[in-house]
Amino acid sequence: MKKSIIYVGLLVFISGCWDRYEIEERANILGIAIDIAEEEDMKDEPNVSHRQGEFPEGYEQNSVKITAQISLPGKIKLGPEGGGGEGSQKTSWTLETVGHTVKDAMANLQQQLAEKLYLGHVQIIVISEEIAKRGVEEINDYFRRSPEVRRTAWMIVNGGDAKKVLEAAPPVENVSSLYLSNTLDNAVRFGKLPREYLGKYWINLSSEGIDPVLPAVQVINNDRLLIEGVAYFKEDKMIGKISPIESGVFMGMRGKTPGGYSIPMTLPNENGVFMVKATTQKPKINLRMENGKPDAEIKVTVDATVEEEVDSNQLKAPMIEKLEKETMKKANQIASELIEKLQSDGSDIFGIGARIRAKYASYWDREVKSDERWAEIYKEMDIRVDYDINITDTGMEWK
Amino acid sequence: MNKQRDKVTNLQLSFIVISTMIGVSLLSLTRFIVEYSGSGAPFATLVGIVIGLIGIVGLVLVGKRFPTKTIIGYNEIILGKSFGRMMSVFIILLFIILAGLETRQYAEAIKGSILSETPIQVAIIAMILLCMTTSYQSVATFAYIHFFYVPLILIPILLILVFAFRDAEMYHVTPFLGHEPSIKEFINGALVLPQALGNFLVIAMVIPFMKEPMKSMKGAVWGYLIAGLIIFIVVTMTVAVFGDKEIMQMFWPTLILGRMIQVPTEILSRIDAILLISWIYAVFTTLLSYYFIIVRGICELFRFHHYRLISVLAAPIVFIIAILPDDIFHMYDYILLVTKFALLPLLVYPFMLLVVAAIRRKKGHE
Repeated sequence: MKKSIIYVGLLVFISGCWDRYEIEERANILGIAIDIAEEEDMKDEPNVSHRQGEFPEGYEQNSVKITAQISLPGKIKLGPEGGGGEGSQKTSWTLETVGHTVKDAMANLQQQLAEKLYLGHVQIIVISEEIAKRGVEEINDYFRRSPEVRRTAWMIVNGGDAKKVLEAAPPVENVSSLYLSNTLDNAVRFGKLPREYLGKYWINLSSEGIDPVLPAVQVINNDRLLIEGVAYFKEDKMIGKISPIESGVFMGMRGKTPGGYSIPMTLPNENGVFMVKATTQKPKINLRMENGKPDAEIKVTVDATVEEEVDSNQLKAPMIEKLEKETMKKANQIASELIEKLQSDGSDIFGIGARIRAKYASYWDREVKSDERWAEIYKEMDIRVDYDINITDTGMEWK
Repeated sequence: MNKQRDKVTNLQLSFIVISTMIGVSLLSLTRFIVEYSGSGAPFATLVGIVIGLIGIVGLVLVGKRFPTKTIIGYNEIILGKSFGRMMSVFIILLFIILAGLETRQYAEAIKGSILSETPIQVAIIAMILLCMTTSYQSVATFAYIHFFYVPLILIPILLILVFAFRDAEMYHVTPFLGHEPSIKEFINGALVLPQALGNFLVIAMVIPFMKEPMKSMKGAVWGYLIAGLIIFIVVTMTVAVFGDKEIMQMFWPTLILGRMIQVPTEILSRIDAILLISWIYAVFTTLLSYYFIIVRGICELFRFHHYRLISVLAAPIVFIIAILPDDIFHMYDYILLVTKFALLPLLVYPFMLLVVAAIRRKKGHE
């Protein structure tokens, strides 16, 4: 008798029945794209969370259009029986809806579906450049609050419509979001993108003295992504984009990374082009205070390899030395131009401000205090770069 | 009391201290320290640990003076019958309130992170039932339970911290004193530690059941230092990864740290589940200690040794306290209030006892 009471009690209290959703009762969102909703789109607004035209005044104009890629296990065949080679268009469902805020749009979306929306499997959140330039603070709030969203997911910026990214249908994977997020994960491993996934992005967004970056992509041929470099922000607003080779340089200046990019080099008065690829990049940021003004020197140590030479055939020790020197010159030039550009935009994606805040706390507390003031000081500041490139090998050829 | 069977070793005592101290507060602790001390949180934690150390040393000193008595027992001897019993009632009441509030904090975290649609009462009742059915056991069993769970608590937490290292940034943890440091703020931040960890008082109920109560200092202090070290590492890593600004936007920084982590080769994609499970063990062992103080305390105070009855009777009271706060914000207000004005003063209480005992020349027999 006593035991049976305990068992019944256990059944009720430890099973967590209230949150039981079988996998086929869930609409697993794999990717979300957020665009600006034009007036035209807003005409079909479902009005779920509020009556027609009753969204709080002053906040109704920042409307968003949300495109969600949903997989419905058990409903849409994901396995090989789904008919190989059909690509991802048939295996997942891409829905589109609008709303005044992200949650408003999600509520509208839920209203149209039989299954419960589940954000635990979101792999990528794509935002359009327009949204990124308008500011992402309001968009992030919903995702930060939701306990389902993984901080290891990606947020990326697409030049055109964000929904185009989700509509891209790679022929090799059933669900495009998975392929796209793999593209990004592997790009980090290859050293082509900084490790700035959602959680890290949020940290840099809220930290003082550092501005965040996001991967920038472009859809190619409607079936894959080209990584276009990184989009840099000033606080929560996107300012511009830097090209892939510049992002390689940027990553090397910000933190230790595998170097993923090759750079074509020529030598003065010599024939031939050499493709020099960085293998590891390691920066050291030296800060100094002079006359109450900060200045910074970024020293980057790079190990590199020659991956190709065209029309030269003379790669020997003295040539390597020359090549190292030329590459250093080139890297210094790209880096200082990049810094100049970022400085004039007031975007401190290196985290120099954060380092100054840490090292010269009293200076920061007295003179800087805020991100806005830091952006002004940063613009005026003297930042030098100094590359030390060491070509360690040249592949299997000795010529 | 069947003292022949209840023999707790020094190792068990230190495990009791570890698993009691690491508990509910592990998830939210960092936020409260950062709130006062900013990036000085790791240093404030160290200072806090030292402050707490004084408290536990005092407690062991009194315990050694009265090696056969629990805190309830020597309260009466030292302070006299009426005043001593009043203090005991106060301590028991404090732990009833703390047990209720911390159960609620546990339930809020569970509700906020995984079981969002489960009524919060269910998580509370489940935990209280669990404590109720284990708290009337003998002291030896109590010690075994703690002993069993410590590795299950420590290993996952340490593993997660190792993987978090990749995302740590030096500039998040300097300057070591925080920005615009003020002594008052800093000390307030440091005091969060003993506020959250003052629950080591449970050893005052265990020392008389030890094999060698006179050697209890070693076990208690080692246990305290190990738990303190782990909490220091957790706080430091959390601040190093997130920075003070980001932490101030979260309820449970440690949980979110678990969500940030990517294990190389991606064998497991959601580490936070493992963290939550080991945290639930930690919560259970902590609440079990509270319950142990409540049940044993009441029984000894009223010389009524029906542990089962008391633990069943205490359950509804703890439950009512747990559902009392209207929302999560009120709950944290109450917890901070109670720990600040009741648990914190308990740190100096053992020294007061020692002084009074010396003046009144009271000593435990044996």
